[in-house]
Amino acid sequence: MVLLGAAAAIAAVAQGFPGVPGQNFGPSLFPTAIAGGFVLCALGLFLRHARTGGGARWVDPGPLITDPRARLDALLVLGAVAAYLLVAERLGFIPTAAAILLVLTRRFGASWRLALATAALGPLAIHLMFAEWLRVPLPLGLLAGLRYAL
Amino acid sequence: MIEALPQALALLMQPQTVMVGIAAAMFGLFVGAMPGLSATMAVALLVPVSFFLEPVAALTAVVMTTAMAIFAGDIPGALMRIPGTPASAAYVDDAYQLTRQGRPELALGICLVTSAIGGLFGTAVLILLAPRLAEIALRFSGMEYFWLVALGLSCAVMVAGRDPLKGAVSLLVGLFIATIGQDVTAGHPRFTGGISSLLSGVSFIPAMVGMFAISEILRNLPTIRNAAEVQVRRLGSILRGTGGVVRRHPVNLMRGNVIGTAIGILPGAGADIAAWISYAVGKRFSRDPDRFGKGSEEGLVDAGAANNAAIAGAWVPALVFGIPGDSVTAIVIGLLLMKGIQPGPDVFLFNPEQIGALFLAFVIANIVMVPIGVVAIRLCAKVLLVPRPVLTPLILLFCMVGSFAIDNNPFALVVMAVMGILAWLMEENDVPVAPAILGIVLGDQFEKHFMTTMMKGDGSLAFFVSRPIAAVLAAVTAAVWIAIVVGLVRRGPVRLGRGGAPAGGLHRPPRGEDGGRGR
Repeated sequence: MVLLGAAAAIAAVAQGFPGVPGQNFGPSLFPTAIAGGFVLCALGLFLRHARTGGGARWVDPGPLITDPRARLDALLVLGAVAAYLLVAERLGFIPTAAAILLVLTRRFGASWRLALATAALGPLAIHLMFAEWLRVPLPLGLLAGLRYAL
Repeated sequence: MIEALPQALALLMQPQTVMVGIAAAMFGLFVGAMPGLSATMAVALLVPVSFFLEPVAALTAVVMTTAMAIFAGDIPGALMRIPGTPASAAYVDDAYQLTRQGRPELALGICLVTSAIGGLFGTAVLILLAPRLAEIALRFSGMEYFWLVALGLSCAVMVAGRDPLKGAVSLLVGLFIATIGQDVTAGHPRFTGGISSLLSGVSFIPAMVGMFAISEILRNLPTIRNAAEVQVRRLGSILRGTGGVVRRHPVNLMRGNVIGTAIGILPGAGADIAAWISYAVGKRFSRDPDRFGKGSEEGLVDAGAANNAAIAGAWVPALVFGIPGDSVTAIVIGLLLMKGIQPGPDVFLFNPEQIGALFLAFVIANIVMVPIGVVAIRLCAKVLLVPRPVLTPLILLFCMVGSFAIDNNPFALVVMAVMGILAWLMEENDVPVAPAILGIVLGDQFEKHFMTTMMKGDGSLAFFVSRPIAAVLAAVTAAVWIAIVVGLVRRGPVRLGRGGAPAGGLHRPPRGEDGGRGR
């Protein structure tokens, strides 16, 4: 039906390929190893190309890209990671996590009551587990004063 | 080994370990029973937590979680025709048909008992085989390890999917990712793009969490609003009649055990492929193959035993050679390395009590599986009602915190997200992820052994086969590649056997008509 090309992988490999000569620094033998690896890459690439010919599509889009609702879902999920990176340090883990949970659970179709409950309890549970028991320094942010006042 | 048994038992019976084991069993049951969450994802989620535990407790947690998750995957398969993990996909039709015929107890009972027996068989092989192999492996030098890793990676390409070429692409992606960071001999930074966090390489745990958990979240997004329909009436006695069925099919049981363990030992193929192959073999040799897919008890016995046997089998190469037998053990090796334990024959010499405790954990996990499983089946209806709109964001958050927790570096989140997208893209295009994982795990060792052997041999390639064991391993590796190439040439362009699965990507489509090829 569809000859699925592994386009993403090949593009990455192909771009790495011309970069190899640039690695030829240092007295050791390590460039040989890399070159060997990339010879294999080239071999795989060559075989694949001969097989698929020109007709096959390189990437099969799949429902995540074709369906607009799922696309927005995916962007929101990745956006949540980005948002966490941007603001968690300042706001603290609990407020950021609560906001992320609220937005995503609502977006995925949970009722307001369920979403609010998740957003309230989820971050607290995770904070308890990681920050209090396992001593991971999750950012406290706005709640720093509260934590040490207790 | 035997003399370490009391110590091993003492290690295992520490309160922390027991608590962790119980919690991990619950966790495994839950994750396995939730459609869309696989056993590998369960372990990936577990790692950030187990990172903070003692080695034995951490390993116990992994063993408990995987054993329970692979069994629990059968529960929604039988009740809803949606496999809880990909390893249950092979026989989901049979289990569901038995339920339709009004015998859900029998379907679940067979799954449970064969899971436990398969798990115990795999464990027995692990206990008997691993120390023997370790004795041989002690005589290995870098040269032999190089060939061993090469062989492992080659096997992964051969068995990991329908299209070995895509397996090879996947492997190369993994090896490429492993080269990111300072190289092993000269310390020259490679492919870091000037990002200092990448100097030490792509951080392993965030990469695993991304490739297994984030990619699964992404993949399941299109179906997230489809509420699961659970039709569970009151279940009768789970185990009644099961013993009879299992006794009536001793050949199927044994075959499932052996195939499952063997597939588990092969690098790159785990419980899901073991179930598919065992099911296909069972069908071929069955007296009434027509019943397969329509509620065949035989098929359930075959495949139900195979997937649990594969779990233990996968630990054999992981412990002895540091070469993971499946994606779960790939994560385990990363975990062990972080804890300062280098998997390999030395572990059997220097940490016999830890190895003993691990073996015991396997035995206990597969025995307690039966009573816990009976309870779990009864509670399952409630578990399956946890709405996915709530669960998915929680898992996402957990992934983020877990990745961050390993070295408290926010950059881990970037690694996680990028690897998640990469793995999702690969799976979406039918490129298996397992070889890439192996490439990432083994890439460093592969290069290191290659480099040291090159230095010892003064750059002569003939030196690589100058020792007898190395020459044999080299020959086997070459044979595997010849088989791959011949297979590719003969088959011509690979086409998809059968399209989408009923649950929208919850499990992989079967491997076409040639599922039993190569047995």
